[in-house]
Amino acid sequence: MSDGRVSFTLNGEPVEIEAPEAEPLLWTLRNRLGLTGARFGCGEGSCGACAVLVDGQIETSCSLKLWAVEGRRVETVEGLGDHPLIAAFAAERAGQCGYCLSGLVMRAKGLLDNTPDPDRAEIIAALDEGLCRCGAHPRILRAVARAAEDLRG
Amino acid sequence: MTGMKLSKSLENYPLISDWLKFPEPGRVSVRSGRVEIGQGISLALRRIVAGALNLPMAQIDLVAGDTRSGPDENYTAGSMSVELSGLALRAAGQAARAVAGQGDFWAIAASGGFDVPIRDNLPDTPQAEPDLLLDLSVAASESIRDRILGGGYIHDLRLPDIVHARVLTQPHPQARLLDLPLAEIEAMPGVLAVHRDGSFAAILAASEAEVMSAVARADSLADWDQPDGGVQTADDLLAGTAQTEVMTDTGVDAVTGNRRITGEFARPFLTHASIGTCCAIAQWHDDRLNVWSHAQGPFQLKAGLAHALKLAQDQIDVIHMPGAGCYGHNGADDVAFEAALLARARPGAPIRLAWRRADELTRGPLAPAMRSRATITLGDDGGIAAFDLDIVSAPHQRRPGPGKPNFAAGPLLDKPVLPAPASEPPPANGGGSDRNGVPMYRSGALRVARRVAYDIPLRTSAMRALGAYANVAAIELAMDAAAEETRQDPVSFRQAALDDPRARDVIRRVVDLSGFATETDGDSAMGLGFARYKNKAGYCAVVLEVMAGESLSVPRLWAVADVGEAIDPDGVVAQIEGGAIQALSWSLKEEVPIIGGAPAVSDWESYPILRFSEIPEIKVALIGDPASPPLGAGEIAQGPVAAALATAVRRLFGLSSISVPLTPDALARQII
Ligand code: FES
Ligand code: FES
Repeated sequence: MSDGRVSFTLNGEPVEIEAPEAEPLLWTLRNRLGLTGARFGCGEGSCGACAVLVDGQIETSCSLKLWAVEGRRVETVEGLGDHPLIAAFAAERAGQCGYCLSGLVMRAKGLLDNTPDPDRAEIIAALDEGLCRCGAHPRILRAVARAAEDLRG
Repeated sequence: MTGMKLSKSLENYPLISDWLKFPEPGRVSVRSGRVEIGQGISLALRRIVAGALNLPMAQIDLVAGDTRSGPDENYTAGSMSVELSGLALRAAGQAARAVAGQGDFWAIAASGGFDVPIRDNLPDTPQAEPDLLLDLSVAASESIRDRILGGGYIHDLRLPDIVHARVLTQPHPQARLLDLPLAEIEAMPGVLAVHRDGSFAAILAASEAEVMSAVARADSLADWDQPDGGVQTADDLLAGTAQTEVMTDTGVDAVTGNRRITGEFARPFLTHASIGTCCAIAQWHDDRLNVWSHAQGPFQLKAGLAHALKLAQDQIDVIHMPGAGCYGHNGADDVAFEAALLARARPGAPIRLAWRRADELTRGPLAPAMRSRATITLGDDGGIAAFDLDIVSAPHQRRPGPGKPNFAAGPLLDKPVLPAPASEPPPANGGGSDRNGVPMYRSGALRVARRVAYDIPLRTSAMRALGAYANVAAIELAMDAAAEETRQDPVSFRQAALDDPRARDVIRRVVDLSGFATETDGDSAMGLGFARYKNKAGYCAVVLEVMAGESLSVPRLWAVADVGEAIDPDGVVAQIEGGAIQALSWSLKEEVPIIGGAPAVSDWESYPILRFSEIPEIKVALIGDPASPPLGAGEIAQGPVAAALATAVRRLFGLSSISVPLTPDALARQII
């Protein structure tokens, strides 16, 4: 892996980082930038624990190389502290162990950015690639619907 | 039973100050051997202490699962934590309040005033407790928020100079590592060392990205000698078990009546499949070992490590940190031992070992395959003359502990560390494969027998609800079939055989809530399942609706539970929802195939679990009397859910013997 300088926007702030360009973004976020919201679950793009938004699209950061975000806009759960999604997940007590939540919150964010008034089927479709083993699904669905309502005011 | 165990907790840790500390003004720190494993225990325990001390929950901190302090309370078993730890803490809090009177807790603690026995200071009359439901929901919300934003998982712990480690994937539990080209792997970027001890091999590197690349390369270069062979069914693997253990044999055989009705339920091997993989950090310095672990039993892990590593117990500290969801005896202990091996070989640096997905699915213990057959002998009066349960199962108990160095990597080492023989949890703990083998329904004679494949060449151990999942399903299938045989309504047939009014109530309420009906239009049917977990914890009745189609689906599910006083009612509801979804996931989708003696799953494609698009709409109602003692609520839903599914499938397809998972192929094979 050759080192390179990669610049991108992270939660609204410009960052420039020197790191092996082929490093999966997940490790850059967690171990170089100290953002542990994106989590390792499979490293193969199939669980969604590591999901982030890149230019508004959901991506699994375990299978995205650092060079691929050059010049792009990356959003992680750390940027959502004041977003109604977090409050809604908290209010619905949506989660048990919580490990899956940051990835699912990012999926929901991607949905709500484009679809302010989603129906249940749209919420399910947006979350479906994300796995939860604790069975918190019903509460997570409720939380996303609640956040959508809060956002619409 | 509960009283006896409570006495034991208080006997070992008799003083108020063994349980409660008042470290700084305004803060109470609660010592508990129980650990948070994603089931909301810490909230319930904090609420109990806040109530007993008449303080807001926000002032109470829980210090759990640190072997450097706090009582050794054995495992966090979902069903027992609130009952036992909670009762002990409530007693400690009540005694503290009685001792303090109008005085200040912190001043009294500072002068050693709480170094007095709980037993001698319990109040004669109950103290009024504050209403803490609002506190509870605020605390629950905060913990979700923290989990989303802050993490705080063991995976997130960063210590200075941390070294990242990964183990090579062992293709088969008995595979021997013949050759590993060390020089080639050591030359890879970032690699600090390749550790090899017998057939246990791991890569250590400075960064996580580098260790992942290096271990993938090492996997492709490693030469293993592994047994081969074809597909083995669970029945094949359990077949060699000759010894029958009679667990219960009571009552008299009916003199009249000989109509026999059976219900049978079988499940394959399963895996825990947590979303986060097992992880541990170990550090060896000055002849001491520190281990950070998400194991369920920090004290047992410590004892097992001491035995396996030939260390004195006081050379080891285990510090609990949260992992991803824990659903029983998973690989947390195994990964901790592996990290300890690496730390011993490389003193000084903290070694962080995280398993990869394939390790998570196969390296930890599997959940036992089992088959349970319930036979009802009907009396001439249409009642139950005899109940027989025959269980065949892999073992449910392989945890490490004192004298039990039970770790996955032990047998692989040059100087092998062999595990203690597998066993079953004792009846006093609810049993293992025979858990809920005794039905609550009245019968003339009752016999429960099990054959456990203790020598099976696979590592199996406890997963949520243990044998209750299959036993309750088999019993309820037989009950449904017996009702049909005697032309009785399945609800009234059950009600007539139940002496416990609380059991009858949860069934009646779930029937009302769901509009349970026995008719089927051929495409959909409803099923009913009931059990009182371990016959002494919470009561739960479930109705669900099954739809046939390309694959079976469950669009709706209702559950009614009585757990007595619910310390954290919304937490109990969440446990029931989660338990129901996981049990449906097992039943509809999950199986670890065994090929050539090895668990053959490696990723989420080969081990799918239920997704958002597949979960039912769920309604849960709690009907317990808040004045009656709290009953364990953590694992009450799995058996009734399996039973409700099985009885609905029976109604739809006329099956009285059901093997899960009910994938389209498997269902088609069973219908023919
Ligand atoms: S860790 Fe990235 S999808 Fe699973
Ligand atoms: S809350 Fe544990 S995996 Fe979703």
